[in-house]
Amino acid sequence: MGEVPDEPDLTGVQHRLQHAILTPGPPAESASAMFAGTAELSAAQRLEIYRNGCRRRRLEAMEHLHPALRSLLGDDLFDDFASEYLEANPSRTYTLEQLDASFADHLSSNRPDADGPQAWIDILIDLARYERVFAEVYDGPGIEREPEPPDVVPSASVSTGARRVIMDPSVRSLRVSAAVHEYHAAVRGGTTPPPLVPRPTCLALWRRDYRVRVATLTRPAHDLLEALLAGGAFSEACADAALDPDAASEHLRAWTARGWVRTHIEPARIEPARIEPARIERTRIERTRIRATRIQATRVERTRFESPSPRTPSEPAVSSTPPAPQESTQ
Amino acid sequence: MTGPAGDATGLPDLGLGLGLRGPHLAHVLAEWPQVDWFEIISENFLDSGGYRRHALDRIAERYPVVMHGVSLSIGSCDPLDTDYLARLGALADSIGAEWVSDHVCWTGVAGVNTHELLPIPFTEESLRHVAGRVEIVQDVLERPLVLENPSTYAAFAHSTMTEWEFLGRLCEASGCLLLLDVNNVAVSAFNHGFDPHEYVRELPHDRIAQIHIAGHADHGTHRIDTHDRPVPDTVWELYGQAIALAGPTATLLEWDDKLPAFPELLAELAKARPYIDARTDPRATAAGGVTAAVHG
Repeated sequence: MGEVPDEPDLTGVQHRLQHAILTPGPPAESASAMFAGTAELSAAQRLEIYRNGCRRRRLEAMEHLHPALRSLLGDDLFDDFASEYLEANPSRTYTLEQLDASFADHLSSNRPDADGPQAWIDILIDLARYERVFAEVYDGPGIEREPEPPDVVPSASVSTGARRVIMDPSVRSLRVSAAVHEYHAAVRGGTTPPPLVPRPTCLALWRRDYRVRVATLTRPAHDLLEALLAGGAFSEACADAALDPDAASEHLRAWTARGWVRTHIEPARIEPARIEPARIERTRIERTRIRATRIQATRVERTRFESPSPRTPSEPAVSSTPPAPQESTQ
Repeated sequence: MTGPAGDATGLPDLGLGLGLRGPHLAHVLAEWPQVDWFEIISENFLDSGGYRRHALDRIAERYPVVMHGVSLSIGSCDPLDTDYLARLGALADSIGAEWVSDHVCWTGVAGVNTHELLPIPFTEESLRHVAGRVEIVQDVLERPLVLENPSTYAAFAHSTMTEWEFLGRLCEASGCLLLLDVNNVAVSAFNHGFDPHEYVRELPHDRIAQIHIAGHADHGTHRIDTHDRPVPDTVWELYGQAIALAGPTATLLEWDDKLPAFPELLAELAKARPYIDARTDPRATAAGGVTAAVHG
């Protein structure tokens, strides 16, 4: 290759480039100076390709994850909200599908109605949260691949005991300020969504045959479901929901019929007796993770002893140009 | 550089395959189309407990499946993500993946993932760094890692070797195999002004386990790897050259955006067949030039 103008170390190069790519506004000249420009395309233009590509990819992912919110806000306003969120919350996961994991929380913490709460802000936050939960139910754990559970104890028998109710892992509860589920369904179905007006709604989402189902619940039923999902014993859940055991048992019977209830267990038993396929895979992942950590640690140690000159991933870098401060890329 | 692959990679020639994309899952499950194998984007399935995973499990019972990732970040100066590696290994074991691949790139540091395949400087330091990490990944996954040349839009001024030299030395140092993306070669060659045929010619052909073909966008001053259109002639030329030099190699058509109907993908993929046939026909010439093949 040509002359070697400088030999910046790899760690410094990567921190500087990442900072230039993720930080809005004109990048530092030192960032593009790392690149070789040509007559057709300057170094700065080349850096801009990466900046634009990164921004576009993440925005498109957010649009994909939130079609209903985008429909509600319009493209420009949605992109403004999403860009602000992405800037404040750089992705830390290996998949773009987790990119919006804290979007609703971010919107909630950075409400644009500083002068006083406005109902439409609550609605858009709830819609963002609903879309996230819907996606989690759609692709998260479910019972389709699991064996049939042990016989479900008739719900009446738990009403007086301290048994825990084990729910289908796909079941989620959500309290929202408007019928965002109807709006979301209309957008997904390609029909005109109904206007979103304030209407406190309690929802349950679950999955059956790989399709997400949604039901509205009364407030007490919702509170009971939340308490059960949190792992409370049946008697505790009744108390949390301010429901007498008979009324709670009625809900439980209905939910058992819907398939939300997998089994009831004694407090001493914290897991269902059967070893499920998903659990086997989780165990395998954990074992491999521990082995990977050991291998990496061994390699790093070995590299330190055998060859002190090449830098290993865990060693601090000595850079001719200090890496951008970590907080600047947060 | 070196001769045709044969089975020197230790991995099978799977034939002609397609990227398995979400919109086509139902079609594949319903029609079980005639395609030799599928490649998945690993990250799309690592955490799935829903329909996608259900579909993949069923498809993996009938077709060979290869896992292609975008978040290994083999060139990053961050420690390797052991949780990610563990999930990768578990999925590979679970579906019986033929092999696991990713890119010669980095995607982030300081715990951040930009989700971009960012370039690395081609230096001795990078080579040592990447080779060491490849060895760790191979030990964890207990299988060879196959690495792809990404499309790049910028090259580092302080690089001390060409990309093809870097890849060759990386294979030598780490034992990894190559996923040669001839579309990426065409894109990078245009963007940086190097000869794409020299690139293909100089690679260690006995290390090429897989080839990607795809389409890209031409913006006049530069080209962008878009995977949203048919394979252009320039890429087919490089593909012919690669097959002539490496021998019949598992070939995968990548198409991600503006996804056409499945039969259209199959028709595009079928254009690769004459290049394979020309290579396996003893009358065909394989002197490193472009194999003649005609497609409409």
